[in-house]
Amino acid sequence: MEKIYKILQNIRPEFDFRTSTNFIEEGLLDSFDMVSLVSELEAEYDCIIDALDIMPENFGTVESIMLVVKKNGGNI
Amino acid sequence: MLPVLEHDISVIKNTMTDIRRNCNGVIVQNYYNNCDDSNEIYVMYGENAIAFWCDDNGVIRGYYYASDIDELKELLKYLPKGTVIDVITRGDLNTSAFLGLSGFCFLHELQRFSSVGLSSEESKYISERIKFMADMYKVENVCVATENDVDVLNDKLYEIFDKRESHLPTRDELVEYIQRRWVCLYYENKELKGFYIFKVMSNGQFYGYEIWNGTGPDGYFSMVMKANELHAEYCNSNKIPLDKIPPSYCWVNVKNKKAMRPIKFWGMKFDGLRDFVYEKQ
Repeated sequence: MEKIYKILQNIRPEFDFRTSTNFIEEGLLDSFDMVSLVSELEAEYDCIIDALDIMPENFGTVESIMLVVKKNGGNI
Repeated sequence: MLPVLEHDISVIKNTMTDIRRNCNGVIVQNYYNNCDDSNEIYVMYGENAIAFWCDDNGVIRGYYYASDIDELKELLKYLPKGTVIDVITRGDLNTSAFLGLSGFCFLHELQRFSSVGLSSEESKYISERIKFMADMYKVENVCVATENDVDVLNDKLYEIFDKRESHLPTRDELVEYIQRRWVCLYYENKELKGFYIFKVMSNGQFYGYEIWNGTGPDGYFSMVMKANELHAEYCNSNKIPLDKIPPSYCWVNVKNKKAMRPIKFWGMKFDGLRDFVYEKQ
């Protein structure tokens, strides 16, 4: 979980992800950030995230991000 | 080589995943979940590259996803004349230089500005400036657009803005924005001199969509003030707490000095994201 927060913080250092309840709905991540995040997650957890899974619902919280990484074979 | 007509973006997304799986190097792409609702997408398939396009309110917009840039360059040559490609990046113009080799011509550079990270001192300074400029707010000249204004507004939008650069709303979307009270107009002697179209995201975030000011600073300032009032009104009626709204943002053409000045005046800063717009010759 900490690693994911670190990745998120590197992508958008100006936001506090820990106090957010939904990164997408609250505007902390946009579609461009989502693609950057996917690349970082794939490198960190040695997986390939299916393009069909790259949708806002899967990137709203750290928990949902962990789920999508696991679903795609990530070593999390 | 002929394009394949696809009716569902998921087929294309599956190809993207395959390209990613077979990739040992870098992926180049300009696809950010665009044209997901389109059921008419033309695709050029390669082994390690894909290029596709669809109609977006009268503009053909092109997208690509590739691990093999040479193959991509070949596929892009098949995109129709007039296809517009947006390359959104934190890099510079060189990141998309390969488009020039596939028959694309660079049109515009847009930059994203945001009110993120405004210090309390800056906010205070801006509030004081607003107080100082209060006399410029010509309340009697600015009003909320109604559905009777749709045709005039629609014509003006497409006359003033370049639809390749701005993702202009359809007529139906414009009607929706008017119904939501996201459009204000500025008149001088009964003549339309400006309009301000904004959007409010579900979290209350303000997006300055299309602003035209055909008069002096009074017109601009009045529309900004009115738009701020309408934004607050919208958030209140939708029970969005004003203190939880993320910073506002907008995209500006770097050559549009008339737009750049006021944006900086409000303390908005370039957040590092650029959009390079290309057109197929």
